[in-house]
Amino acid sequence: MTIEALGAVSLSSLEAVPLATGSGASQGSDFLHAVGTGLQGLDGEVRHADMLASELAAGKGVAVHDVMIAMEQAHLSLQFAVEVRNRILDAYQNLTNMQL
Amino acid sequence: MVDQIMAATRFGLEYERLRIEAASHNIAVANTPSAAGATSSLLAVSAPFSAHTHDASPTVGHPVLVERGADERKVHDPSDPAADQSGMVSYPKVDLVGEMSTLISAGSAYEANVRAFNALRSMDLHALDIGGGA
Repeated sequence: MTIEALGAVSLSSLEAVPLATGSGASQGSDFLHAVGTGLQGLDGEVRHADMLASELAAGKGVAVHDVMIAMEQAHLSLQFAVEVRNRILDAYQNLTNMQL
Repeated sequence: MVDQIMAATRFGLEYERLRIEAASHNIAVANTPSAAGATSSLLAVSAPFSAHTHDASPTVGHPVLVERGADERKVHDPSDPAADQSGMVSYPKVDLVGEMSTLISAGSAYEANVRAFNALRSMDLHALDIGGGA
C-alpha cells in the first residue's frame, strides 16, 4: 500500500491563480482559484472603501453613510478572510502534527 | 455576503437624507419672494424603488429630488423690488408644519435604518464566530 506525499503549498502559486488551470497542481488548483478570487474581491472592496474615504476627505460630495457602509463591508470581508485563513491554518497544522 | 440587505439599508439612508434635504430647502425658501411672473417650485423626493430585496436581481434605483409646483402666497408690499404692478409680492406657499414633521420623521427613520444596519453587521460578525473554537 502506497501513501502519496502531501504536495507542497507554495505562496508563489497564489499569484498565478487566474492562469493556474493547466499546469502541475491539479487537485489544489480549484481551491487556490477560490482563494485567489476571494482575495481579489476583498482587495477590490478595501480599495473601494479607501477611494470613498479619500473622496469624502477631499469634499467631493460623497454621502457619509455610503463611506461608512463601504468601510463596514470591507471590514466584514477582511474578517471573513481572516477566519478562513485561521480554519485553513488549523487544518494544515493538524496534518503536519500528525504522528506517523 | 449580504449585499441585498445592505443595498436596501443604503437605499433607506439615501432616501431619508434626501427627504431632510428637500424639507430643509422648502423651509429655506419659504420667505424668499419668487421672481415676478415665475411660478415658485419646491422640492420633493421621488423614489423608483421596488422593494423586492428577496429577488435574485433587486432593482434598487436611486431616489432623486424632483421639483414640484407650489401655490403662491401673495403679500402686499409695494416697496419690495420683487413686487408686481399691483404691489403684490408672491412667496411659495410652504406647509411649515408638514415640513417640520417631515424633518422629524425622516430623522428617526434614518436612525432606524442605521439601527437595522448595525443589527445586520453584528449578525454577520456573530456568524463568523460559528465554530471558531480558538
